[in-house]
Amino acid sequence: MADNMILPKDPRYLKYPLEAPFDEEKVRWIASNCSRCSVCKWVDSWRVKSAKYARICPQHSKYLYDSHSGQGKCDLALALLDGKIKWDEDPEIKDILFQCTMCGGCDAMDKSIRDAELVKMYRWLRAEYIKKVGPLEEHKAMLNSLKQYDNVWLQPRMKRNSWAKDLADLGIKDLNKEKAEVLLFAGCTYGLSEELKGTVVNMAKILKKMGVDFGTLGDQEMCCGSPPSKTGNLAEFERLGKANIKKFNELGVKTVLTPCAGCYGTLRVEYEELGEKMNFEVLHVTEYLEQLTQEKKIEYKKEIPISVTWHDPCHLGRMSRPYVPGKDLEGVYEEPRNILRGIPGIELVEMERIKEYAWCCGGGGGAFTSFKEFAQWTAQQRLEEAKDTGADILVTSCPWCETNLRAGGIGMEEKMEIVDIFDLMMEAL
Amino acid sequence: MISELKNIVGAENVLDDQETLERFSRDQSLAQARKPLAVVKVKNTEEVQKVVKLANEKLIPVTPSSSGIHFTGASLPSQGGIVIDLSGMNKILEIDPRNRKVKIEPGVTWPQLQEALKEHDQIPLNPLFPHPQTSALTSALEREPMLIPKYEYGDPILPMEVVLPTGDIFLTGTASDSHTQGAYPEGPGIDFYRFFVGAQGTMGIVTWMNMKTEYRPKKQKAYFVPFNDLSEAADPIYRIQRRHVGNECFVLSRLLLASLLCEGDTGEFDKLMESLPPYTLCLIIAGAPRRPLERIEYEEEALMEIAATLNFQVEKTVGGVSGLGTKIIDKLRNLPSNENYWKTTVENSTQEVFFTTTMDKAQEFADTALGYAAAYGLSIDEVGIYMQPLERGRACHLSFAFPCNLENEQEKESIGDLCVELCKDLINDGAFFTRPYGPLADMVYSKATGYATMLKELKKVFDPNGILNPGKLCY
Amino acid sequence: MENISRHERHEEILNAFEAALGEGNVKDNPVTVNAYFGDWLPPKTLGTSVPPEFVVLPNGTLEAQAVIKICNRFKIPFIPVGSNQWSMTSAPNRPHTVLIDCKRMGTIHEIDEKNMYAVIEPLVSLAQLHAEANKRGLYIGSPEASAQSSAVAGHLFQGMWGVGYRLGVAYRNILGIEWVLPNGEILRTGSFSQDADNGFWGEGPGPDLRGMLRGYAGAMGGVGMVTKMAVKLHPYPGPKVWPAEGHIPNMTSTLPEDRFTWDIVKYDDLEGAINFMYEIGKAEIGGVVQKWPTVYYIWWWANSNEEYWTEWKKRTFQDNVKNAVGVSLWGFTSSKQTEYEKRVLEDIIAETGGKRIKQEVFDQWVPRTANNWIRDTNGSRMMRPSGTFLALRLQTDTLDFSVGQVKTGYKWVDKFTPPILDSDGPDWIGGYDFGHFGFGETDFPVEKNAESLGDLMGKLLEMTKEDVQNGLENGVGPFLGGPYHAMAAPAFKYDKLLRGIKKAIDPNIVSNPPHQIPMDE
Repeated sequence: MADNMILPKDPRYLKYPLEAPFDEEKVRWIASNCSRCSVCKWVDSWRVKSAKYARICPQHSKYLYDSHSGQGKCDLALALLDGKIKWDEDPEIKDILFQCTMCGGCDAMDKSIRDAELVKMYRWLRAEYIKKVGPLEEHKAMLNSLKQYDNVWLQPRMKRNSWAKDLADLGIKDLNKEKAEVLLFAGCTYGLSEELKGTVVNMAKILKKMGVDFGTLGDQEMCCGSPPSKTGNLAEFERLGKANIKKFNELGVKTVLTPCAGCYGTLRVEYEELGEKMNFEVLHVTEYLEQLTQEKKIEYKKEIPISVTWHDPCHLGRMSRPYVPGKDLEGVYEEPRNILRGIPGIELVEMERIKEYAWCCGGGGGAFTSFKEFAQWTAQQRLEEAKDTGADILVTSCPWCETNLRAGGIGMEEKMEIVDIFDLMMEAL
Repeated sequence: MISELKNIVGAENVLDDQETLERFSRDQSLAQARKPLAVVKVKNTEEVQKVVKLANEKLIPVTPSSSGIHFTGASLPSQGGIVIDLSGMNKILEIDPRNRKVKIEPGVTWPQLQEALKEHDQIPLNPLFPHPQTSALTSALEREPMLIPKYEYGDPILPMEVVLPTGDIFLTGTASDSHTQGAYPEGPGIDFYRFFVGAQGTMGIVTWMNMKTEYRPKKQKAYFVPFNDLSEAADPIYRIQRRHVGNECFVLSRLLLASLLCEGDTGEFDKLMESLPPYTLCLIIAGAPRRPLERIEYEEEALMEIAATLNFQVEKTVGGVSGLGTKIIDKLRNLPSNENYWKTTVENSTQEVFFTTTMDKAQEFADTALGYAAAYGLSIDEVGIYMQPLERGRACHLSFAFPCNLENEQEKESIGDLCVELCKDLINDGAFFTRPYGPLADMVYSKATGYATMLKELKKVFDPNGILNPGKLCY
Repeated sequence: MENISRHERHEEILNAFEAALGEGNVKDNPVTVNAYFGDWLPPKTLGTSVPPEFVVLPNGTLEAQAVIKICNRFKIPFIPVGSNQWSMTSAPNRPHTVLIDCKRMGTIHEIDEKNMYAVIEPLVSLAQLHAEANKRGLYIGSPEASAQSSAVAGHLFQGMWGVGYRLGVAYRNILGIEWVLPNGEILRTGSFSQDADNGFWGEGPGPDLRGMLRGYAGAMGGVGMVTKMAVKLHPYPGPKVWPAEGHIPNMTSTLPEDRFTWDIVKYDDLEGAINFMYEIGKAEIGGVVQKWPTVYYIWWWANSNEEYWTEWKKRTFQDNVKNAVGVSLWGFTSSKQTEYEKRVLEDIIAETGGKRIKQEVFDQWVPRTANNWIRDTNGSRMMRPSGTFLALRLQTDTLDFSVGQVKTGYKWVDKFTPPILDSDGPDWIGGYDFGHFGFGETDFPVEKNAESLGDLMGKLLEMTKEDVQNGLENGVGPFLGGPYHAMAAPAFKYDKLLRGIKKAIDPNIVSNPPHQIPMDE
């Protein structure tokens, strides 16, 4: 009977072409099937809890015109591909394509009504823009830094592992010389930022307390490739990604742990695109710790009687799993929450927009460096939402989120303290 | 012209004798008497059309009249011309119990309609104990409020046939084609039906109308709640409506309830005025067609819960009236068809000031009205107050009735002045007069100037010669 | 950019808008206007829609008025949009169009919990209003445009939301309106006419000008722009926060069982299903009563294209929900109402010979899908399996009448299959006002395929003409928009009236021509 049915001729309607290369044809497919329904602009209707916190897209919420939305980018994609608009015709093309924090809010909401990959489409468009018009001025420093130092912060390689300098007693291995199954991959920002180093230190101490045998790559650690990937500099991403996979395989690590949500999403999802076999699994430190606590309890010594609200970093959440049409948009949602609930005295209160429908911090996709005001505006929206919960502090686990949220908080009358989950854990330990 | 009219309707149906003209020049309102040139009794739509077309030719105003009695002045020929009397078009054209609707002509009265629907276990959605001669169709067109607020549709109007002021026929809603069953009022094109509603016969003459009907309950119970004032009544009614309790639900002041119950007996009236509380909420909980007692049971339970929470008393009677529930139910289900109109118990007319507001403001307006009443020498017991929750209690129709002897010129003038002054004050305080009759129209439209301008544009489209009931509303 | 022909006075017009709205609130550049002429159907692809020349963002009634007055001054068309959902008729069809986007008009001015209404601006979505209403024990329905669409626009367009069965449908849900007419004058209706801050009531004064705004369907921007509207909210026995579990796209929702139930009851034929709907209506039970076509079940259920077509080929729904009626009972009064209505429902099912669908199909479908019809009715899911869908021969009259109409729809759909895809009989019939009337619609999937588009559009045009002809012959029809009115108005004798009204309010024919009715062609 199925044989007699009049079915769509285009096989892509029968099954989304997930395995097909992400090329112009795929972009067209995604863009032309936009029905202008506006789910990309709003939190899924089933999850809206108030009028105030009903939006999902920072770019659209700030800039208002539909051109600055998932739907608008679909329209733009078609116009560019058809040659109806030239890539360099309108300076606003750059803004529309590169302001976006690549948070995946639109992408996730879109998946509630169709099979599509909006964020991948944006990345492709960015890459095409760079090919056709040229790299952005704002990205040049980052690209140069990667070329010279394999990190995005123009820091010499030797500084890479400096956070571990004073931790010789902990017995953290140098995996270039020693063996361990667990690699702690700190990432550029956690690893090199003076402000955030302490968090990595705390995290390392916690892992050691839990008896984890792990090591680092020392000053051989390279950027995961997330910033060039998100900003459309795909060649650089490929270089770094392949190099990292090769290294991790060669070292025989079985588990790559990272505290950075950006690294996590990249290692876990985007590295699959590179076509290289990965002999290791990638976990965020909170995932790993939460697994450990099921076997062995963390013994906290101190009570911290405060209320906290957890901010879901996009790349730890909705952007942290490879897409499978029809499958849940899973992410690392419960693990950090369980950890927080386990700390004595902590009361966890939720913001309205959480998990796969969380509001972005504003720091991703290159917006932090290239569109600072927008990034900070986005952060301020999030901070306001956090304040409305009545929580004392906002907790998260992503260096970009923390940095951008703190930057956004400058100038706000009532400040919200931003605390990394590992720092909070350490305080209780 | 008279002879031309006679050619259309027959000589016996064109009346220009003084007595008839006198009769049609005034009504139960305080509107200035205005004589028509002739009263033309029509029997069918074709005749209506022809009369209206003739009026266009001659540029003579036409004022439609469907009821045997009028209370607002809307059917008086303010600028002379012809009164077209549709009361003789009094057929019930179709009863459709499956779709719960009925199709009626303008002359059909509420008691007539109610009686005809009984055998189909249906009820019409009539307003509060209307005068037996009131046209059901006109009543609905003029938005007289239904008694059952649980029906969110608010009015029972379905597709209708209209003779436009040009004499053309227009069918609203799905009646626009005979293939349908005339059940849906929107369209064709736009919601033309809305232009004829509240229009006081200025936008078209409706020659038949489909109306919604509802189930005639076989089992029902009446409940009464006494209140000292409307502010006490507001929260209970809000809660009752919010929890979907009850069918008919309305509040009457002592004067009105006494007038209703006494049935013309002045001795009884006086006794009731002594014993009844200032206000009474009348609530009917009706059984549905299926398992009626079970529905009554759970709704009653909810009512008692609400009463306990808000601390009010639900009674079987008020004022010690024996069998009050049965009496009210009987009056609701068997609309009086004799000529003793309950509202004329005290005097031969009542002049009503009515508007739409929300129940939480009702007492404030009542205070204003009673203040004016006192200033004009009327006591609280001489003002009839009726509050009708609308559409789930989200608003209410609020009416103040002042008895007035139409044969006493001084009294007419005094009550007339009272009403005008009261209305001015009420409008300023936010009372919304959705049905502005007589002098009220100018007060309302001078505030709603944009609306009036648009209405006038609309009127030009429908009535280019301005012949249909000129002088009403803002026309 | 190709295809943008500029008005000869473009710069002057731009300056005028900037002066009225502020510089950042007007755009005319290619990239911006490009985002405003797409829609869910092929017209953009076929080139029958064009980009607007300007996109403007007024903030409030007075700025909207300024824009419209400028349009009148220069005699250029404007299209006001709400969320611009699917943009069916808001894709410009002629050059020099100004698209009035309400992105700065997203305020909920007021929610009066006691008197159960909200005053909103055009960008406010139904989801926003739901959320705020639910907090207060109140509710508003969502039509298939779904809850992320504009509440104002939804009320103006059609609005046959599921719970309209009990609570009334959109045209009855509108209270006071503040509205800029095409000529630039501000019109306030209902209680707003007396007090611009008080929108609690919608009628009058006197004749009701809300009649101009819509009929069976809306005016498609042809009567100016509504800038503020008061809408009814309704009592709601549900939780303050919408219950949803799981993650996109596999969320489920279960409302408290003592107040909300679902049943799906099937019959041997459509007449049986409709009889059932009649009996439910007469019994005055139920919150939602809908006879969905098979495709509706799977459109809303499937969470991926593969899942859709796999399940479709298995005939899970075709073999189980044909002629089935979905009934949701709501215990508004108390849980005892729910119990009572369940008993009555059992009586009716037994009397009418209905059978509940198989439990496994019920369990498969209800937790994932049913509550869409209460919360958001997300019609965009109808696009999933083939890129687009069509909805034609919408009709409203009695439930019995709907049966006749959808049956002619079967034959008609068969005739045009392909390109209509397998749909198992597109017969959606909803019961409203406790069964006083029935709304029927014929929806079916078609493939949005650029290569076969030419053939598809030819057939669609033929289908559309037949559809309109059917409407003219039977007194019903889609009558969506100007071109339809141009055909229907003479047949149903409203031609002169509607053109008279349009001329009175839009003398320069600037309000989204050719809507509400063509005046110049």
